[in-house]
Amino acid sequence: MRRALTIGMIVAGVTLMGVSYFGLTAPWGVSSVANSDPRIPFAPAIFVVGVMLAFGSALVYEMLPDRFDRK
Amino acid sequence: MATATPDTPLSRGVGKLTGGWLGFVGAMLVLVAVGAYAYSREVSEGMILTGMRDVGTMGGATWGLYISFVVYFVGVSFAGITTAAVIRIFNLNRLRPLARMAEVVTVVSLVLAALAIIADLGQPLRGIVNLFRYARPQSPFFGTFTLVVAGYLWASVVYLWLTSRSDAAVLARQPTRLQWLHRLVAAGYRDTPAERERHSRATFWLAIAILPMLVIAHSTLGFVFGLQVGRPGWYSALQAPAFVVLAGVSGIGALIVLAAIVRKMIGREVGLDMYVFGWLGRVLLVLLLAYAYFMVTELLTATYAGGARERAVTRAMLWGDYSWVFWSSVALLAVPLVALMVQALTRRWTVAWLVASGIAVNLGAIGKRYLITVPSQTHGTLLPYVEGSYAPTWIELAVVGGLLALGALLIGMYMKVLPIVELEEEEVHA
Repeated sequence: MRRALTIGMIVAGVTLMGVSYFGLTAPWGVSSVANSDPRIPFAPAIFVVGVMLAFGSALVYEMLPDRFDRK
Repeated sequence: MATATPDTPLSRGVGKLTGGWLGFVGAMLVLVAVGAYAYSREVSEGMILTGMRDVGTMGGATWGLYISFVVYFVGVSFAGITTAAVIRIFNLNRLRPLARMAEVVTVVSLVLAALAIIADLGQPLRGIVNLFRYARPQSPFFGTFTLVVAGYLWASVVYLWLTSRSDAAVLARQPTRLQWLHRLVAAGYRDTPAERERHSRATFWLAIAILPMLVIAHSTLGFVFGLQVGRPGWYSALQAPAFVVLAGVSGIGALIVLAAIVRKMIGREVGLDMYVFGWLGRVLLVLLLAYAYFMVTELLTATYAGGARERAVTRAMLWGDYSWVFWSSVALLAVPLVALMVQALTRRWTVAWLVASGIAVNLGAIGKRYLITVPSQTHGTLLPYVEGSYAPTWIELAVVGGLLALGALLIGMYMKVLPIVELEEEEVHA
């Protein structure tokens, strides 16, 4: 349970980072000003949430009570 | 056998409030209050109270003392977490007394960097909201502010908390006034073999994950300057690596000073012996040598065959308006370099010389950060504007002074709440 949750958070965090960085923010390779806004508002915030989720997994790994392991 | 009371002193001087410490807190609070007052004036009356003006048309610099200190604070944080991570990854037990204070230095300097960015914004709230709303990943600012301020600060706080839990659990066993706080920080940690194993594994992997991220994060801050093709003096492939190396210089210098203060306050028996200081001195020496190489290379490139504007910026630094900052910084970096080299060759390290070197390299690093930030704006315009100037006002000086005092205050308060030097194995398992 502990390990699954930790790995899940890391995967979710990295996925959010990747998707927001390459897919949701302003398009790559397009230099026109018309394309300078992100494709969805607050896409950079999603990237930040991904970073925090990935590093926050260490908290879950270390602090989840032992009873979750026994289940 | 003595019974613990709420007044019983804890290990490492935790909870022990001396007259000197209270005086220090009082002095720092006064400086923080002056800084807060200056910032309140800046917010209410506008950026006109600062020395910053538009580049070119108003002959000024839009990035001044605040951004110089953002770069400096982020630099200090680099060496802190690098030292802590390296100690844990390679299990350098004799250097373990440095790990906690390095982590604290990192967190505090990142908080100060974030506050310095806010001080630089005319509309702080708008700046913060728009950063998360519109930031472009193609811009190095994206990496700087998302990785450095959000990811890096968050990762460092997680790391510091996890490494502080076991000590907090030990302190929480004693019925002192801080017991509630130690229980809170310990968050249920009971020091069982399984918990120890998990803790060791979590901090190891966290340290592994932090190291590449911090190199990327710090490089992007160098790229903020180094990728600006239209700004002579900034546009250089050496900006990012030189940025990282000078970050190491200032951070290790700060760590030496803090380690000496801690050694004075709680004694050398906690492991802060000459081996530790000698190690810090050798690392600082290597980093200073590397930075000297970068500096000479960069100056030679700019002066040998640089463009007209490139040479104008370099001339302003070497012989013009900024020459006193430049030569002072060079002296503040060169003298410690010689002093460290003499100590390394004679293998006689002295704490006093190391502390003097630590202070000097930090002053030199601040000067170098100022020179990276300002002269290119006042003397490096490609359009035919007259040469500009920039001088920080008392508002900027007071805000920066307040931030430095806040940093000292946070570290000083941490020392009285949790051990700034990790408890020994036998103390934890007693």
